[in-house]
Amino acid sequence: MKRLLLLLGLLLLIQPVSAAQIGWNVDLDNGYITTAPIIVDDQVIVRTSGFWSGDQRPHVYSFDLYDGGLNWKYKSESSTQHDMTPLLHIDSGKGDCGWWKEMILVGWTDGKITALDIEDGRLIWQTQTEIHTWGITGAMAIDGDEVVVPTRKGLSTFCLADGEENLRVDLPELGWRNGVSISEDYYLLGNEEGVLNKVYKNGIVENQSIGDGKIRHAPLQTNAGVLIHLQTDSGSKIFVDGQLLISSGYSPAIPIMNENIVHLATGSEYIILDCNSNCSIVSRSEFHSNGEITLRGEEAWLPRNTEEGGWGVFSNTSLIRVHQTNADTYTTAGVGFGPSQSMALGSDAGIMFVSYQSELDEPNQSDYFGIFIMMIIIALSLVSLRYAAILDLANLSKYLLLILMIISAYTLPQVANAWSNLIQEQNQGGDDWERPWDDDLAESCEGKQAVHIQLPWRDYMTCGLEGYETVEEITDAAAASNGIVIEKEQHDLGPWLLSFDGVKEEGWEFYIDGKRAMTGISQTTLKSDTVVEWRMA
Amino acid sequence: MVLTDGVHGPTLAPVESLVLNTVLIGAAFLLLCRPNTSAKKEILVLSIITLAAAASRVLLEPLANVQPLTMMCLVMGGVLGARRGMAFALMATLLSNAILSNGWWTLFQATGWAAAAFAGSKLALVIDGEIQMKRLLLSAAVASVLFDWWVSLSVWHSGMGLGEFALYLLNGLPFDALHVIASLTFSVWLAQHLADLIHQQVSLDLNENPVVSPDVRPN
Repeated sequence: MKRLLLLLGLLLLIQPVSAAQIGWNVDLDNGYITTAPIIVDDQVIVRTSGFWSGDQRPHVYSFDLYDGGLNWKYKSESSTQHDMTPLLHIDSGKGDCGWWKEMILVGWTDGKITALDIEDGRLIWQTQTEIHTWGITGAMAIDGDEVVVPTRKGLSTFCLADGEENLRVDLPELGWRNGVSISEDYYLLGNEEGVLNKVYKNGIVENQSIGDGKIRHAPLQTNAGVLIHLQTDSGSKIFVDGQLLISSGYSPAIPIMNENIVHLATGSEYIILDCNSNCSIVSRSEFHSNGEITLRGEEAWLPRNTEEGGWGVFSNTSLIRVHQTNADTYTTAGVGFGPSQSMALGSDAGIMFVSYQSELDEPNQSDYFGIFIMMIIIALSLVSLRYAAILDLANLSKYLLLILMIISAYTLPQVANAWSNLIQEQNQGGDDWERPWDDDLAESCEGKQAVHIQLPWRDYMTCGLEGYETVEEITDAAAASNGIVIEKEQHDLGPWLLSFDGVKEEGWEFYIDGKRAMTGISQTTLKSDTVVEWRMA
Repeated sequence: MVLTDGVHGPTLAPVESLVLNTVLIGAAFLLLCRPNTSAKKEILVLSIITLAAAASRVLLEPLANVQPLTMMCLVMGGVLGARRGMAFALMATLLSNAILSNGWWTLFQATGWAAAAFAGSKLALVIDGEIQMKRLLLSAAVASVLFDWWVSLSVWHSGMGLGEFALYLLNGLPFDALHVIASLTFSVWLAQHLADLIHQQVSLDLNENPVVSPDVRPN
């Protein structure tokens, strides 16, 4: 009985093994992903687009952010063109025309606007706008209790509560990806004739010809004036309040603005303008992007619309890296960012990749475990004292050995780590290690933390990282920002990395500044300029 | 020694794994198949002990390098003899690795514990059913370290120099120490009970099991 209790105590030392998977992907069956997925709480919502034939039709899908399970999907039976209007998430609210639930608004190329219940994808209301071969292709916008919809030849506003049309303005020229922007008194939208329309909320329209070209984005209202990136036959031109600022390359991306810093791109460059007072050029960097630019903190993510695909990640004015997946191709969709450092992205390949930062550690668990161990040791010590008192050395040594084993097992991670660090310090010397980046990245990589992950099909270099303390933390961050799915297993010694993007091969080894590490990923600490390299064994 | 960074040498392709398992199971079968053994009850008892050994390894796996199998192999070798002791070691390793993880290292672990069982059969660890505790403790300590170093060879690959491998072994010393302590603990707590169980339930193959006469008994 005594031995049975001791065995049970020993077994209780064993911590549960758990696996943490921090990403997933899903193939959306032939549809392109042309607009950014959106992440709302624990849902990832994405739409497919394509040139549909037969029974194929575009869908809107909602997946669980953390496990990739399908929450709901909505199929358009009548949209047969290339749907590229960004999804709009609407919080619940109320206005003059009533109240509405939290919902997703979807504009379709068959001219429909559908309001879908975010909980189950049920259709709340639907309305129809005009079709001129195509229906809605531009970005809609929210104005109070109304959604403002740029249609092919006009503009409409609808009540969020029931889809009732409040305003309709017909315009003479056709629009295409003609997103709308909102000010206090009017709406702005462009068209395929290079005309900027100012539609007052009372229905009066003013227009201004910007130039010989096409306006395929929502005009940006900066401190310096209305900014238009005009697509022309010879490239593109950027205008501010009708005045030409600069000329640039072909096929402009959809520009985006944050605090009057404007991010633009073309088939040849990425441009940053400071439009706080008058628009001035901050930087022009070589890059090929024609789609939706997404901002996250200091970073700008630009979809690369080339065969290689991926997203260029710029920090301020520098290209940090190109974020890539294992299904890259032409890409115009932006990136959806959400809680837990989550992000969702996809390309014309129609595969959505979702990743997030997993939380493995439960606070205070180790504290309780330590107390439990201490109680066992105290109990065993009391028994040992009893045998010591009667000079029963055989039993005394048995109990002392058991205590020693428990203490050793419990403290092994710390002891092994300290021992390993000591050895590493003793063995530091010169090396011929070459840093895993080329000259282009040297500026953003040197002097800061970096992670290099070598997958069979591609190397991922993540530079310019700061403040990470362990290999586990920095690897999680680098994988999350690259859309790489990590599989880990939790052991008593700490987490054990099993695979990147499902690649296990012969196991993974990590190197710290070119030297193979001898401690675990959660124990190996980093300096401010440590380079972590993950290589297959 | 246990690696701490998630790398445990190369994993095996399915065909390689099949070949390895076939070889090891075949060896265990040959070692067990003796014409004059084993009543059904003995087979059952030995099977249960083998399963228990594998289960103990699986259960204690989260405690790095706490390996009850080292002591068990020594005792099983000492009680049952080299042949059946080694068969026990191979089977227990294969069974536990089927759950823990199979790979190139399985070969090293299986042969390492089989070697421990072989050593147990030659070191007169059990005499007349009595565990020779001092000898067992010394054997367990040495076997634990040697086993760790032997298994560490499974991670030695072409790109690893001798110095790097030595560094690797050096890093593993705390793990080796824990293996030694655990083996000593299991020895003093469980070895005699294991020997008694086998003696009570299994008729020993005296042709194989060494008989040590009183005049050569260790002190």
